[in-house]
Amino acid sequence: MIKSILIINNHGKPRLIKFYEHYNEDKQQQIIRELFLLVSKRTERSCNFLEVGNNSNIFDKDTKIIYRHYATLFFIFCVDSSESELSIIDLIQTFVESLDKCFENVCELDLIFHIDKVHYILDEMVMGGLVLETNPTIIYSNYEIQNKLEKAENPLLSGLAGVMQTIKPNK
Amino acid sequence: MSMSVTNPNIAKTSMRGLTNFISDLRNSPSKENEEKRVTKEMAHIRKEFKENKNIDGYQRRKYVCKLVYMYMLGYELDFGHMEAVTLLSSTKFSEKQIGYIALGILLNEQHEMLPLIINSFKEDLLARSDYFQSLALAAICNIGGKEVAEFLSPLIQKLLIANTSSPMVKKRCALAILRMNRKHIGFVSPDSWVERLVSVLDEPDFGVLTSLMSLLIELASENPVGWEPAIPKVIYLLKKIIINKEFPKEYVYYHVTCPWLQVKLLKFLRYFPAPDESQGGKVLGEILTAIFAQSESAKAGTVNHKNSLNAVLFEAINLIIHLDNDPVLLKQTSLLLGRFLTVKETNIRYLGLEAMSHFASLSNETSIMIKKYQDTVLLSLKDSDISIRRRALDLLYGMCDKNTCKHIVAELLSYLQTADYAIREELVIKIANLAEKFASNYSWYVDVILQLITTAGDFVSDDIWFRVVKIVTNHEDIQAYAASTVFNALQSRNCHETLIKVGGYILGEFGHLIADNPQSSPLVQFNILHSKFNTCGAPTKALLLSTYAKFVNLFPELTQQTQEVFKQHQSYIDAEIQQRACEYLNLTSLNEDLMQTVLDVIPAFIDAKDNSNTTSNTANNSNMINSQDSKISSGGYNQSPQTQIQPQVQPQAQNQQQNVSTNGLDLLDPFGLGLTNQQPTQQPTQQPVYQQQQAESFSPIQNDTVSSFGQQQGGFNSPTIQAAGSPISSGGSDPMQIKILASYKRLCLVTEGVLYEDSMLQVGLKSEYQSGQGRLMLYYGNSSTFPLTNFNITLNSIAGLTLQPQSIAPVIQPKAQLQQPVTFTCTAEFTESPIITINFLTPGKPITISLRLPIVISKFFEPLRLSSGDFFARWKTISGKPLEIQEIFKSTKPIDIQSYNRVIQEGLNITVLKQVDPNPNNIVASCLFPFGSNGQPINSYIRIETNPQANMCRLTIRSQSATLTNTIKNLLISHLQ
Repeated sequence: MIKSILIINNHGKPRLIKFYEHYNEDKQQQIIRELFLLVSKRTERSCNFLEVGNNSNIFDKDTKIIYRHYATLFFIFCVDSSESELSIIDLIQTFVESLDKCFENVCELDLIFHIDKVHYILDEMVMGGLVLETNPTIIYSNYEIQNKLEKAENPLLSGLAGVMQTIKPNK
Repeated sequence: MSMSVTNPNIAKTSMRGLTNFISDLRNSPSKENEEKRVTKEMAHIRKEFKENKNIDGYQRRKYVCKLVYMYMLGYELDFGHMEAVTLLSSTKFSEKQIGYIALGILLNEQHEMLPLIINSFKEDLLARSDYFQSLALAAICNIGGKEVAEFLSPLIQKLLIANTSSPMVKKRCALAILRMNRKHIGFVSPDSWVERLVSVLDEPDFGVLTSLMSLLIELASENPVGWEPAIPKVIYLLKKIIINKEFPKEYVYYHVTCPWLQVKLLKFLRYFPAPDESQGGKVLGEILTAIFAQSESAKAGTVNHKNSLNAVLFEAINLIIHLDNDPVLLKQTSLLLGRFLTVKETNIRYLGLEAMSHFASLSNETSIMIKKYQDTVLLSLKDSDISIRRRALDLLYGMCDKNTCKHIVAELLSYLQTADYAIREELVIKIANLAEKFASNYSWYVDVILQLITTAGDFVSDDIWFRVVKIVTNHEDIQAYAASTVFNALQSRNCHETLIKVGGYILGEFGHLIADNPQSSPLVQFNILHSKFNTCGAPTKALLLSTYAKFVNLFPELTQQTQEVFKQHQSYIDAEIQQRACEYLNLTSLNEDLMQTVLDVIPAFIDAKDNSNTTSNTANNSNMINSQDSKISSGGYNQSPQTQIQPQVQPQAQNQQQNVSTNGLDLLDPFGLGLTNQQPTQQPTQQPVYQQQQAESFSPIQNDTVSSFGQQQGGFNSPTIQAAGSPISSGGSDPMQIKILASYKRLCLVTEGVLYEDSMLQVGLKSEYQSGQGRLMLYYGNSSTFPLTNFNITLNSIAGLTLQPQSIAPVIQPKAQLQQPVTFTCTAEFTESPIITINFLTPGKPITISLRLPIVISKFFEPLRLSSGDFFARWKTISGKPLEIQEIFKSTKPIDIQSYNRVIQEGLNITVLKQVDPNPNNIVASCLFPFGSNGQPINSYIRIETNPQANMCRLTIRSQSATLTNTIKNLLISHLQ
């Protein structure tokens, strides 16, 4: 199963953390630091897998890191040995493609300012550490429907945004 | 608003306050500023939650978003849980959604709040909206514990099978059931489930199928029996996708049809034996061939396309290896794997090496098939990527056999010189293992180990050098070779300490075999060892002293030099070294006969499993993860393979320890003079302590020497006296020890009772304590039919506790009893209980019994009553290790707060403070220890938080003395667990 999913930027700042096993805050931050140290020193030509389970006091015994590096961000999945490595690589790609669809050319800032949305998208894809959906189209359409639900529930807000939009061009 | 110019998406957020807050944090010039801003915001949110009665859903949502963001940055959240729960019961989807997101982050399955929200889960599951149902299912999956599973599983089962459920809900149901089954193993049994789950396999939606296959794989991995009816359908699905090419278009990922589903279908089949004709065995062969063919034809393409193709291909390879029934496919596999070793993509090389390891372990034929790739694999050992190097090492280890081992070990040794630290330990263990496993002559083995020590001494564990010493001792033909080899190795100026240990041992035993050579005369041997003496740590020094004593016996001409060394260390600061120096000095100058007996050559070690070495367990463990497939084949795949292995290894090791004490042998103390060696644990009272000259096996000799110098004063390997041959400390499952331990534990809590009882002797005691003084009356009853003579008690004071036993008559007549009063005074904190050693003679047999006296620090505690305010005021003044200790433990019996209170209050004299913590599951207590080592009384404050559902306790202890804190922790855990 997937133990945790993290997005960390090139400077080691977390942009998304999702743990499917319970750790306290200190341990989580320790994991973030350790992951960044491990992953950031690997070259682009290194493989996308790193075994960390043995002799580590931070990770559980049966832990493998599977990660991909996109522009300024590392997408890191910690998994156990029951996951197929290449499937996780595919899954990371799906995640990125889904984010890209939802945010229209996703960049790091989108993740920072819409942390709730990133969680929604992730929840469409992985649930309780298990792969839920692998089709970016479905992930995106579910996300859109939820967005619409949200807007419908807060008419004032969408109305206001609408008003502001109409005002802007006049200025 | 200027931000929106740089990023148009920001305007999209409906929460400007959130955006501003995040911008503020991002613009913080320093960590301190960030912390300040966070503290301010937390205070603001807390206040809003507390005081703003008109807070609306939108605001709550905004605040929870902020909390989630702060949490991600690592700030601890101690509030907001309730608000998240309130959001759950909102009727608006958007509020509910953020509530669930927050809960997923804030709660875990042990959280006390979980019962509060089970009903929200249920309501949402019953809601008509797919989206509400999905939210609840996700939360159940993420944080649901056993209780949730029991309460909601029937509902979720129904949703999975119901025709009315949408695919979106169904796929979540499958995963939720999987997670619940993990918490609650065996709750999905094939009898009641197989039909229903197999019928869901007809579902056309690939998302549902993928989730369902995850569930089926999990179930089959637990126990494949009963799930066979799914096999034909799984094969049919594969056929549909791969051969018939029927699939929903939206599930094509980079020209590959839902690789995730394919991978899962193939993986499921790995839990079963090869399917027969009726199950679709032949079709499966065609499918696997087709997978090979399509990967051949599609060499070009994007990275993602290749990646997904290979994901399927590797799963197919793993299945072929598992089935092991198609020679054509196996041949193809070996060729393919060989090709993978040299491809450019590192991922493929990595997986290729991994799969090849499985392939090599399959059979003799397969390991021969890949022999030709050995040189390529050796090259991979020099890859720049550590992941590749690890795999290569693993594969080489598996490829090694009698013919290739010399070559491979030589390559590994040369690699060791340049290998980075991350891999050295593993490498050392593997080399040592291979060298022993395939050694055709032991001199080669000795060479390899010495080379290991020279190149990577820090990574050579004691196990490894113990092993080499054992092998040399047991094989007469290499003793002289070993002696001269270590002697030569010792010539180097910078010897690793491990080499000095091995050298000390081997020269002490077999130095005489090379003594005729003037280049390695006794004096030269002594000088070379002694020139290193001062640079060594205490354990090595102690060992060298033993070597010198052996030298005296072998080479009388060295008497003067060695005695000089002993004299110098007669008042050495380390107790062990001092003791050895004194004893050896006396031994070598007083009685020659005794000396010759004691210092005679160590007889061969008795080893029940001479072929497998001590280090192999470690090496196997490090292999566990990689040999996933072998476990899958045997149907025993488990989430944490290591824990599964342990119980099997343990009893075996214990047996050996009992039968032949050589397995637990501590070679730091090779002559059995220290006290780290364990007495055989079986029947401690029957253990003969030989007085006669020679004995037939090694273990009695250890005891012989112990009794000759019977001052049991703590071996250097264990700082406490506990390990001093005391039958209690060796643990294990011997009923006698369990009884002794139980008596001891009980007597720690009460004042009188039986401490020890066997067929010959009963030891009882009564005790009373008053302001730092104690009186103990020990009763020794002879239950046998013969007198117990030479009856002798050794009872020494320990740090912090002065004991004054009265002398006692040396004989107990049959059916008679002796009494012995002991008075004692507590002067400071003490951590362990004193040890009492009872020696006596039965007709023909000397007996030694060592017991822990149930004098523990809590006997000296005095009540300390505090009000709630006082308690917390004092509690807060102490924090941080080592004055504060926190520990979480699982209780072996159901937690009962009443009995906990009783044990703490009445047994351990710790005052339980009522009404300090409103939670009935928590205990707050305090106590006063009046005799602190600094002359001051010490207060201790204790909190115990229990979780009866999970049977877990969290213990926090604070006091002004680290020793006291730690001792109380040990006491509480041992009595509450």
